[in-house]
Amino acid sequence: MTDRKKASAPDSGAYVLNSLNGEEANDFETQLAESEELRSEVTELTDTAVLLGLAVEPVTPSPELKAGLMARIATTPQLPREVAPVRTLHAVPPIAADQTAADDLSTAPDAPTSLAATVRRRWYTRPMVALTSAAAAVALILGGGVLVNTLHDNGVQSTQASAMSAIYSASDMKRVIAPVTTGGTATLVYSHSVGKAALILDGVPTLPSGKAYELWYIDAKGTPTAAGIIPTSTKSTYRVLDGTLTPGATIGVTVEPASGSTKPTTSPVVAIASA
Amino acid sequence: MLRLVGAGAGNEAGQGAVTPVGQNELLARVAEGDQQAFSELYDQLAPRVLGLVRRLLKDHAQSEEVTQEIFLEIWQTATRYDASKGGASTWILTMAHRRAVDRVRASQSSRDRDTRIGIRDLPTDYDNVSEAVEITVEHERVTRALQRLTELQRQAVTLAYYGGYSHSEVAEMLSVPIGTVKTRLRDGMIRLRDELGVAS
Repeated sequence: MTDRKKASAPDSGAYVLNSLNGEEANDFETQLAESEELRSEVTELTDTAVLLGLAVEPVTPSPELKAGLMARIATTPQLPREVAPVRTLHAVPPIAADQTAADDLSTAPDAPTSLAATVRRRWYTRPMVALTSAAAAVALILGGGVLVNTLHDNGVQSTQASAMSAIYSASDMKRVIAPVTTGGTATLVYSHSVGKAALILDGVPTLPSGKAYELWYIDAKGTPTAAGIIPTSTKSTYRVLDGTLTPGATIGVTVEPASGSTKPTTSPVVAIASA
Repeated sequence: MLRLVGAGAGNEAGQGAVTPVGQNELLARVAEGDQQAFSELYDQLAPRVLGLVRRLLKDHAQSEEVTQEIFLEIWQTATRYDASKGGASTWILTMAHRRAVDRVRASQSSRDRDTRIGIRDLPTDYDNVSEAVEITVEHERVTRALQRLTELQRQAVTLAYYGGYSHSEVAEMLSVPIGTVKTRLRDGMIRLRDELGVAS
């Protein structure tokens, strides 16, 4: 025991730099649990390693990375807390985009409740690969409970996320990036097999209150059909377009009153043709 | 090189500089399932995470993929985050480095070729960063601190952290026994800790 302790102390540097192999790291962690002094050293060296990490020049991720991630977390349960996970279920405050979408959808045959049910079914059949086996059984129950409640309060956001995931996972997914005339970029991702398109706005100007970006399908004759609203409370945001994408449609964006217009009242700030 | 007064003196706590107030709070809200908080935390830290991951992996597309996995893990395990063990950025950057190393090791075969040229890359490895237009305070401090290490300590630490090499690979590259590498890594990190004024 004493020998091992002595032998493991020099490993602290390699440990915090993730330079040990798996077995050595496990051994070291056993030592760590037994020695306050070693823990203190490792804490300090870990903080030091973090400074090495923060010294690297930051790299801005693509807007699709975030859009895809937000879509995934909306349908991914969190691990339960380790101690007595009696958890106050807490509704994510709906953001304006979803509120608007909810209004739109309530008149559509696909009411949010049935869509939520679809998402929920999908989730239950999804393999729990991301969870460790010990936690999996518990998480399945608790995570399920959390998800159901989240969906109840925020079904449309999950529906958006679910549609976004469907587009991303389609084999015929395409992506077109175009500049927005007022600044920033718009990225159109779409799949004809899914029949859906989503628009990601990144770095676009925040609009004055009472205004929003409205999305349109524009057919070959130039006739616009409203496809949903994106408010710009955040710099980067996405919206899966309402309705069905028809081949050859152009997706346009105009600035409209926050409640949306039935026809565009301004010139498009960006228009992207889907091939 | 020696710009900025604030580099050493202003940030005596070290951690104070790297964890703006708010990230810990955001992470606590993420643990409650708050997607908006997750979005804000991502905006603050994703460029840091991607920068670090890409440093190790080089390939941009693969780095974005790993970055997405890291943030998904943050979402899933935020409920287990223990604030008493360090700030949110410490937890996240530590996880990011570990996942980047995991990916490097997983694609080990393609790296065996690289081991030989790793050394040649080494001298420019951290100097390059200083050419960046936007030089962070952290970078300034770390570059200075790295210069205080012995040549061998600096090589070992740089290869391990920025290259993601295991101690046995580092040993091979520097032609020294593994035990010597471990000692250099520890001595080097302790020296860095002292130079950077990190205290628990």
